Amino acid sequence: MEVYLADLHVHTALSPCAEAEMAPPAIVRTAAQQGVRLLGICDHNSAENAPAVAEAGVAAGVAVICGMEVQTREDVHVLTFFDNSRALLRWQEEIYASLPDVENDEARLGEELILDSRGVVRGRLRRFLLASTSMSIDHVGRRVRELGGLVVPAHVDRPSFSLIRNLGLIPPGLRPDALEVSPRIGARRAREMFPQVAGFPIVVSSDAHRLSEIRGHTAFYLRQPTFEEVRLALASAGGRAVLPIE
Amino acid sequence: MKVRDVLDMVECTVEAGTSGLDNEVKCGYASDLLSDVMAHARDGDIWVTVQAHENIIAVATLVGLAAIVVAGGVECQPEAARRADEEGIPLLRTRLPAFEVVGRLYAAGVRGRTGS
Repeated sequence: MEVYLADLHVHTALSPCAEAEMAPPAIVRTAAQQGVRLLGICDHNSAENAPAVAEAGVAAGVAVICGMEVQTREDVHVLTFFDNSRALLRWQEEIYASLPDVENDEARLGEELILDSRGVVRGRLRRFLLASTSMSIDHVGRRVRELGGLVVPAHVDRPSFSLIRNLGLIPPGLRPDALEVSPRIGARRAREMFPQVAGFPIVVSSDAHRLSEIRGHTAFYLRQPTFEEVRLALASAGGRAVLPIE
Repeated sequence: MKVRDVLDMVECTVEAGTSGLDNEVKCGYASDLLSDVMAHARDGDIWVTVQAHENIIAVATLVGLAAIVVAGGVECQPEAARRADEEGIPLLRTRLPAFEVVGRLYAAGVRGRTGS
C-alpha cells in the first residue's frame, strides 16, 4: 500500500466559470508539482474533457478518475465518478437530456472549451452547463449506483449549492459514498459544525477553477491509484483508508 | 386560521397529510433553503417553498410547521407525499408562484415573525 495525495474535484476550461488555463497538460503538471498523484476531474454537468486529462496524466504520473459535478433539481452539487468510459458517456447523455436547452453566452458567462490531451482546443460546447438538471438528488444517487459509479455530494459546508445548506439533512435513501468538504473548513471542523455528516467518510477537495488552487488536501492509502481502489478506501476495506489532511 | 381555510385562498390541492388540515396557522415563512427553515421557522408556521424533496417533511416535523405549500406548479416527489401522510403534515401544491401565495396569505392576516 502507498499514500496518494489526491484532489478529487478539479474543473477544466470546459466549465464556464473556470479559467482558460485549465487545460489537460497544465492541470496534470501542476498536480505533479504539488505532489498530487490522484485527480478527479469534475466539470459542471459534463465530462467532455475528463478523458483528455486522464490521457495527459499518464506521462506526468498522475492518475485521473473521470467524473462530473451534477447540479440536481434542488440546486445541490453532487460529484459523480465512473470507472469505465461507456458508463461515463451514458451518464453524460442522460445529464444532457435533463438540462434545459439553453445556449451558452460566451461573452457574459464564459467559454466552454473542449480540449484534447495536448491542450489544443477541439471545439466549444454550445449548451450552457451552469444549470440545474431536472433530476432529483435521489435519482442521481440511484442511477449513478446502477451505472457502477460513486456519489459524493460536493462542498456540503458551503452556503450555496450544498446538500446540507439546501436540503438540511442527508436524505435517508441517498447513501453517499463520501461527503466532500471545502479546504477552508476541513474535515474536523465540518464534523463539529454539521452533526449530519456523522458516519460518512469525508474527502477534502479544492474545487479548483484555476491552476493555483489545485492541492492535495486528502491522502488515500491504496494499492494503486484507481477508481476501484478509491471505492474500497471510502469503504475502509482491506486496510485501505481515506485521510483528510488537517 | 386553520390550514383548511387557506386551501381555496392559494388555489392548492392537498397532496398528502390530510390529517393535519385542522392545524392552526400561527405565522408564515418563505424559503427554499431547508437549513434556513430549520434555523428560523417556528412551530405553527405555514411554509411556502418551491422545494419538493422528501426532506421538506423531515424539516416540517422537526420545526412543528402547520403546513407546507409547494408553489410554482412544482411536482411533489412521491416519497414526500408518503412521508407527509405518515407525519400528518399537510402537503399543499399550487400552480401559483411563491410570491403570489405569500401575498394572498398576508392579505388574509398571516404574518411573518419580525422579532429575532
